[in-house]
Amino acid sequence: MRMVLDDVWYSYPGQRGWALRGVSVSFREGELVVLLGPNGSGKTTLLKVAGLLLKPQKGRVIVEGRDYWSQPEEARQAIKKKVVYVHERPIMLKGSVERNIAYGLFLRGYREEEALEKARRLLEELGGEKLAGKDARSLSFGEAQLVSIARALAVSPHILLLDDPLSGLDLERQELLLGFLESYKENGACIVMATHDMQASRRADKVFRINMGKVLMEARS
Amino acid sequence: MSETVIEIAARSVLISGAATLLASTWSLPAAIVLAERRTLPRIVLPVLESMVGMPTVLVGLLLYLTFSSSGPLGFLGLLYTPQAIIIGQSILVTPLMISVSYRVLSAASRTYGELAETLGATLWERRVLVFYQSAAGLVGAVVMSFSRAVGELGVALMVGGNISGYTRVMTTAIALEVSKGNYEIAVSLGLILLAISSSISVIIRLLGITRVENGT
Repeated sequence: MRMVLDDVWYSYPGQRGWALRGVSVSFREGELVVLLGPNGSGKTTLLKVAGLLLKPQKGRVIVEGRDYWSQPEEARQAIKKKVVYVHERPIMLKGSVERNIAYGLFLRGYREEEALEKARRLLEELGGEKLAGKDARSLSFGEAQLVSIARALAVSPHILLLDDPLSGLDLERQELLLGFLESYKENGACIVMATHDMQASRRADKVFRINMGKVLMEARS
Repeated sequence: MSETVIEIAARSVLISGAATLLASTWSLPAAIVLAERRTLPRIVLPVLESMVGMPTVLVGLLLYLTFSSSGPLGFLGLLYTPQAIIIGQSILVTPLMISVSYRVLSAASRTYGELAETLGATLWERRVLVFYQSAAGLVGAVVMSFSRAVGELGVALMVGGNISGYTRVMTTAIALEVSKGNYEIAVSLGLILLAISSSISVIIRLLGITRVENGT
């Protein structure tokens, strides 16, 4: 899946000034893209625009060659199911860890047992088997972050947008997650990650530096 | 405790409970609609919140004028009936129920709504998730509204008329018994009213409404 943000401008309702100012970037399948930039530089806004959660006031978001926001609702819904954004602060739903991971699968019509089994398998692959059966709202920040990433991965998105996914994880889990994401990417997905972690940016195929809502530099490895 | 006191207390709970349920049929949908809007005109919330403290006698007076025989809805014959109190109290608690539910739902909509959306939920699936995740806060809003309804005097007195065995509720009975010098009954009713209000505070605390309002 290929996505192009073409001269995108975004301003939050009720706020002065632009959070994104004429951003043009592209993401394609099999790519690990890293967004680097200080706090408040526009990384989250860029991820949310790419995550099809925020509609830019100016510019186009082109998915598979078509302007996403000018398509009919049904077509947009179909595309949206392939693009998942993971929040910086993990959002845990009421209930167990497995039910949290399985939520997107329930939305896709999976049967309960099947969805929960898939959730358990994924949790194991990410090294979080000890979290199985726990109340999701009792987890630490890092554990919740892992669960929210697993929840996104469960629905096998074509484009996965991660907002600072490494901040709450210890080094061992960071390594495990990055390895998992690399193999996920090699299966044809695109992963876009906002991070402060230089180690993660070294593994990236593309690095965008962002400041004051503008992409200052694009580096390719 | 005399049978009369129990009867009055039961009637109060029934009338205010019905008023609260009636108000929730329009207040909760209104709060959902408001919470789903990404931008809300700045004036809406302050106006709503200022109406939370609306004087009960004013609502009572307006309804009296509406339901009295020469008023526009006089032909319904509702004045001095329990139904008139139910309508009046439901109007009285509407701003409170909308503003509290709005705060709960708008926080939940920003977090859970966005989560549902990014995982591919339809508008209705998103609404179901937001509503389910906010259930404790919404129950808190309803319970708070009941508390306001059961403790008000102006509406019950002006459109209910304090008719013994028919529209007499705790607040009107307390006012009447004090004026007659029957402090014992007034104090009993006052204690029941206090017990109801206190249990409501406990329920709200147990439901953890503050935590839900913060969206965490």
